[in-house]
Amino acid sequence: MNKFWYADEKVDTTPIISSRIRLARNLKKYPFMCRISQEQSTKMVEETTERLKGRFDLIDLAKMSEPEKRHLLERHIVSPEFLKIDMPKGLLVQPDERISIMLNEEDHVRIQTIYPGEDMDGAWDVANKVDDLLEETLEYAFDKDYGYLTSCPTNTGTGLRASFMIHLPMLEKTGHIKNVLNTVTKFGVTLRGIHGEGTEPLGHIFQVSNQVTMGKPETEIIGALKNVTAQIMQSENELRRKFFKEKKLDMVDRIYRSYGTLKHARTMSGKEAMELLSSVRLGYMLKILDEPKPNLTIYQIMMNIQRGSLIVAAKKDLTDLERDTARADYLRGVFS
Amino acid sequence: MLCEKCHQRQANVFVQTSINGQTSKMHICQECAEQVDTPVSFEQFFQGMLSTMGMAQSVAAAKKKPNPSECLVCGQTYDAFKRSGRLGCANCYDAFRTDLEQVFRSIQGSTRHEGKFPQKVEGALKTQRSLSRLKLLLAKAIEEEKFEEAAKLRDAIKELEGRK
Ligand SMILES: [Zn+2]
Ligand SMILES: [Zn+2]
Repeated sequence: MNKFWYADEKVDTTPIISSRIRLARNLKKYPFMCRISQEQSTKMVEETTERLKGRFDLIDLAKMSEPEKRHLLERHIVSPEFLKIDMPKGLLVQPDERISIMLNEEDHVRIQTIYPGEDMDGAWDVANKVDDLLEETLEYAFDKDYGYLTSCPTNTGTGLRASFMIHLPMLEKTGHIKNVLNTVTKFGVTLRGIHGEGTEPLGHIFQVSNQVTMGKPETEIIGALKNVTAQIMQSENELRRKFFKEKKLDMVDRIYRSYGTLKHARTMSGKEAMELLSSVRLGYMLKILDEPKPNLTIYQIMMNIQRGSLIVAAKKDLTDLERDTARADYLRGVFS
Repeated sequence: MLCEKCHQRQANVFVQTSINGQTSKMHICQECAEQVDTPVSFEQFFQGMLSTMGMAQSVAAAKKKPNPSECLVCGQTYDAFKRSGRLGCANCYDAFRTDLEQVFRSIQGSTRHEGKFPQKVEGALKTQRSLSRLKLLLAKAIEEEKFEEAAKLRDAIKELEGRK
């Protein structure tokens, strides 16, 4: 078995944490999400899982607790919308969590692949194959002019959303991220912060994705996104070099302080932890931080300190204070 | 600042998109940002489209004057689609085809799928689409004096035409 995508060292090699492909598909014979009945949903989910079981692990959401479901979300296996939908739904996942299929999300079928680091071609290749496999037994809603028909016209055509998860601490700290935002939107690309609860995206992690799904083949959409992302990454790397040259002591000091806090604190909010982990990720990547690297990737640690993950690990509900303590305990363990 | 979508929670995600040179900016909360996979709501695009067509003031008027079209298969009306941004079934795409052309032109900048086809869909159809696309690329390559590329495209076209 492959490692979990987030356990692969490629997650920590460049600013790009992961490459994700999502394909939206619907079945011809059922109404779409806003018109489908309870009964039809059940039938659609049963019929589709019947054809896929054996190749995927079937996850029974009905048997899961709220924190367990949240934990799925924190691992990017499901979307927030999927959890909110109050209809029969299905979830199929491969053991390495690189491929998942949501049934009855906004569309009947949402195929998702996530690969570690910069590997959009790999993610697309696999998603494309899974799509071909499904199509052997399912009849998709497809129009020769409009392509794959989706619930929302913003997905029609290829049904493709390709996204890089990217760590941009220097662009954000220097405020240059605003210019980047202005520039990339002109190329049909959107950039948004993820993980945020405060006023800024936590951990300086962003998602870069294609806006338009029609009018271009999948490979061109992906190619354009890759070009824009390479530009963003280059600006981030340039800033890193510049600061390392001009403000080395500042940078080194901040990174070691972050490391020290992670290693010794007794209580820690999610926000603070994300900020410190962001700093430490930068430190290892720039080889500034000369301390043993944890066995886990930094992004994996970021996932493990989220609320759902902490509660699932504790096997009981946690108060806010208990959670902050559990988080600090976990981080001390990881960095000791 | 409050979220511009739900007007309830604190906005902490800034979303900016540009389609066909038309830029829209929004401050929204994390929950709203996560709710839709598409970073900007369909309604926003839609209203943006109306305003570029000089029809902004008629949003209210349009609501009063119902568009009678309705999908006979699932019962979704065009008005309901306009409000929710959601189509009800595959047949909606036929029922609202003329109106959808406009919508796609605005939010997608195109009205034609150029990507993969299900293998079940006739191979000939696929060939036809690839051919017209290759021919466009060829014309562009010639215009840009990229002759090596043009030669390759010409070969590809020949091969496809041979298959017909
Ligand atoms: Zn909101
Ligand atoms: Zn319909």
